[in-house]
Amino acid sequence: MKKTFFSLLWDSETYYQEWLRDKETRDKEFIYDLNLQYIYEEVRRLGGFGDRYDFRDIFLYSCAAGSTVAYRQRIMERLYENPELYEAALEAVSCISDSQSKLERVCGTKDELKKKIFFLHMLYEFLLRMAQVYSCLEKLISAEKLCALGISKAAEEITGQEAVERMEKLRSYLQLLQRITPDTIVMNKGENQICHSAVVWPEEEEKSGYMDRLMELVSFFLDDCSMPVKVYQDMDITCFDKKLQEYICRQQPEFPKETEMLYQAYRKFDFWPYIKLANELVFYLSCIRFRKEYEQEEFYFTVPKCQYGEESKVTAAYDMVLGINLFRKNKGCKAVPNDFRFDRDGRFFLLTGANQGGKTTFIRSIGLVQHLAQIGMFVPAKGAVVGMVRHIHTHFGRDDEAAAMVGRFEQELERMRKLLNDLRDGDMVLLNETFTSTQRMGAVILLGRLLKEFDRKHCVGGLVTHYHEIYDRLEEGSFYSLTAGVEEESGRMDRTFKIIRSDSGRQSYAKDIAVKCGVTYDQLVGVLKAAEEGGDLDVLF
Amino acid sequence: MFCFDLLYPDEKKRQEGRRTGKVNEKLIRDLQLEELVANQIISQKEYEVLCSEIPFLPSDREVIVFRQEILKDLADNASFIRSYVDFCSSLRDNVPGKRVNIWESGEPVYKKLQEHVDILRINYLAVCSANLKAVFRSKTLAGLAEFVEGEECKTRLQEIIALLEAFLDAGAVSFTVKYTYGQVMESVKVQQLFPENRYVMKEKGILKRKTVDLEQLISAEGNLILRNNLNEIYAKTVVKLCDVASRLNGVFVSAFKRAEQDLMYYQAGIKILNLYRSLGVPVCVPGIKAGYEGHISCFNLYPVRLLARCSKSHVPGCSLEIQGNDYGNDKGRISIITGSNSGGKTTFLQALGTAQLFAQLGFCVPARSFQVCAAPYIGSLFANAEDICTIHGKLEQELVEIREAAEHLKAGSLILMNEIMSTTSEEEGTNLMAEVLRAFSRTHSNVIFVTHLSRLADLAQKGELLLEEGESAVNYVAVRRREEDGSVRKTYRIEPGRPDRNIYEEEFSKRLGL
Repeated sequence: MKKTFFSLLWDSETYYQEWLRDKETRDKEFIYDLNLQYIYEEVRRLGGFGDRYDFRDIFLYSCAAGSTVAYRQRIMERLYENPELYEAALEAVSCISDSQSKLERVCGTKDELKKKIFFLHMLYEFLLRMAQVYSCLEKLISAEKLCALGISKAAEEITGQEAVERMEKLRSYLQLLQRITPDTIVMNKGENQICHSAVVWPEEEEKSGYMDRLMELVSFFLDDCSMPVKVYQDMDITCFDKKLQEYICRQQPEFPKETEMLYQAYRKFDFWPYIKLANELVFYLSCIRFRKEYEQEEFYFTVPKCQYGEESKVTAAYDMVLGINLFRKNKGCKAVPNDFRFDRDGRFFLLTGANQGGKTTFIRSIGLVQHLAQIGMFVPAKGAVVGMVRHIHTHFGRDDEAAAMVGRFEQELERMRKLLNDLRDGDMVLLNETFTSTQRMGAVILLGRLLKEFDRKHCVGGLVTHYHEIYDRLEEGSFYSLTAGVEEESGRMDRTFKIIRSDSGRQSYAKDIAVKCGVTYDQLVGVLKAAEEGGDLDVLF
Repeated sequence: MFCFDLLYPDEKKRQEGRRTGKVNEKLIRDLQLEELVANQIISQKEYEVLCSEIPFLPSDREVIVFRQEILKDLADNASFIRSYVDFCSSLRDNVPGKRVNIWESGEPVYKKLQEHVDILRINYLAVCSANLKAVFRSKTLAGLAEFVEGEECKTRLQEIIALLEAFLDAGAVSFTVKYTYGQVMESVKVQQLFPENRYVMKEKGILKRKTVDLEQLISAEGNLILRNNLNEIYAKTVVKLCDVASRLNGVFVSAFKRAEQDLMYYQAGIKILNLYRSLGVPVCVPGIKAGYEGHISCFNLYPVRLLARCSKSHVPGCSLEIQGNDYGNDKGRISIITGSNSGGKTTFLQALGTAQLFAQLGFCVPARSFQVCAAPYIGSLFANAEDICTIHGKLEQELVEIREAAEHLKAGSLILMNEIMSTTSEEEGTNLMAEVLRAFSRTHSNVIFVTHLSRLADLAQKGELLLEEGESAVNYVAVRRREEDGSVRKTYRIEPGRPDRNIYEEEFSKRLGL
């Protein structure tokens, strides 16, 4: 049987191949900087499909083809909005997963007859369930006129004439097996003609001089010599099974031969396309479960409109990772949302302002919205029109790498050099506190030159920095300034976590955070005294 | 009986010393000690043993000197560790438990017992043939060697082996079987097994036929099942003895392996010492001063991390390019190091930290001289990437770490800081650090801070940090020299001096192609 190929993730095999090649060569910094792995793990966890299915690459590497993104979005929406379709997809995955488990068990079985019976039984169940599921999935295909590659060929395999004949043969075989298998095995007939089972267990060993001497010698080395006997049966066929087989073969002498014939006819059934289908469905189902789970906890999502061009407009976007972390601590979504936009007049922002004002969160949320939109998923925002980009490049602060032969600043330079090497017109660039590991003036000059280069290439994105004078030094280009908002409250500067268009924020208000962490001079003195006296430090903090 | 403690002079010192909190969790990573294994100076196993001991860093001078002496003893008896490791490698550990499948295995289970007995015999012979004779000054090492070479252990082992071998004869086994069948209960004593079953030890020739009364109790099918179960019971009994034998073997072997682990610790120290010698850098046994005044003084100290890399590169004369540095805290316990990028500041910081660590581990250091007081706590605060699992920003993470360090700080501690406070404005970062340094100065601890906060260095220069009375801050700088042709060259020397104001942005721009 020719191997069929069909996909619910790729509308074009050509683009799929291109995506595969690109995935191998592209820079992977963005995965780490945008915490995509974290979100992926959460989506996977909530999906609940275990380790068998892995859609990591689909999740972590976005598409730049509008038609593929649109294709996925349509399927995602249909599955999200239509509970019947959702259940059918779930059933398909469950059926395929069960069959995979059973196939593994079949392969491990040592008894030949038992293996064949098992396989035929499993194949019958699989085809029966898949036929039921297909009738539901067919609605999805025809309603959307989806050109899912080869999905119609798979349908033929499940519901076509050959499939019907195959099912009939399997059904007959299994009915025969049912008829000749006895309900009970009679071991003995007691007075009341009732069946019982035999149980045997060992009693305590009789002691002999030999054993006493052995235990005395062993106790020199071991504290505890008595151990329970471990009772186990490590066999996949018991003598009861064997008895059954013998009985069946006596009742129906042709049975083993019939089994062999049917097994040889169907043992090469190709499960691979279904396993692939299950993997793809798991991506959608996991994303939907993730969304539903968090929507119950006051999170919101939207389906973005993806278009080519530089213009993006997103309202009330929030950092999903922060949201999840806050949710785990406090319950409910407390991440403050922000709007952002890119257009001809403002393609690149510089964001300054208070420490812990939400700057990193903001820039990360931009990257997340962009990325999730381009894998065909919902985005954490209320409304989103997203201009597609080829790649998202990020440059966030890192640890000093042990294997590097050079200092931290040199490492930053090297990462930036790679970024510039891979940069193309219209890409997205997100920089977070770049070049903090060098002297201020040098960093300011260098960043100024970089920003001009990004502008020259019509890149969109932003830079988070405490070097507020950079914006003033930029004479031309489509740059604009944002700041992290603060409000004065009882002498304290409270962060609003709202990012607003305004002149560069010259203050970082780091002192507030120092007070909160107990790191002012007076607070530290208290800690040091308590440490010296062995006091309760929690009282001080 | 099986306690050869090579790390502490006595049990009391061990209990006092086995408290963690002597170093912070990130110290090993910040000092980049993994370079020792990456450059094959020490093995992965030795590195793991070292890392497991560092959290219990000794600050008791007696313990440190004890370890220095053992290290010296072992370095002088170069072949002992080798012989001991050979002895341990000839010890056979138990085969990882393969389940005895008494239904499907073609092998009788008594053969399993035979295997365990064979392992015990091998270990017994290993003990008999070990050659660990050596002349040690250290009593602990001498005691270890003597135990292996002595007679008591060997005699007992020999007798156990003999008894187990006798058990392999089924005539030594007797057991009772009780089975339930409906309302009928009957106790059957079975001394021999059914000879027709293939799991029985026919070879021993001692079996008699015994069957259960068919009419009274069970049918032929039940008899078959029962018979198979009796075999299983016998096999399980033998398996039980296998368990005892394997536990015995496990305890025996693990006792010696434990001492081997301690020797791995010293092996790491010896290999590091050999690294210094192979590169021709000066080596010394650190002088550990009594008390916790936090004295540090070193001359021509080399960075271990770079020496390790140099060793792997096999470039002749490579070590000549590595710069040694001097340091002393007699002028001030707070040192602020500034200067151009990649000028050797972080390397110098790591060199000092590593040397202090090694000194307290009892190891030698690559310096002409190194005199210190043991630090009750060594902490590192290096700038990190943001932790994605927290809702707190980078600045807050750094401040929390500072506070954690403060909670452990005792007089004479050592704190190493590398480029923290860079994630806020320079002015605010400077103000915050000034307060931190002022507070830390109260504990009379050593604080060494590598930074680009030039304003902070200015404050230190002018004496405006408001430190505790008797404490002062000293500026160090990564020195660059102007050559005759006008170019500027890094020297990797860290010397007391005024902060360097020069920036080198053209050089960096060229690197980016801008």
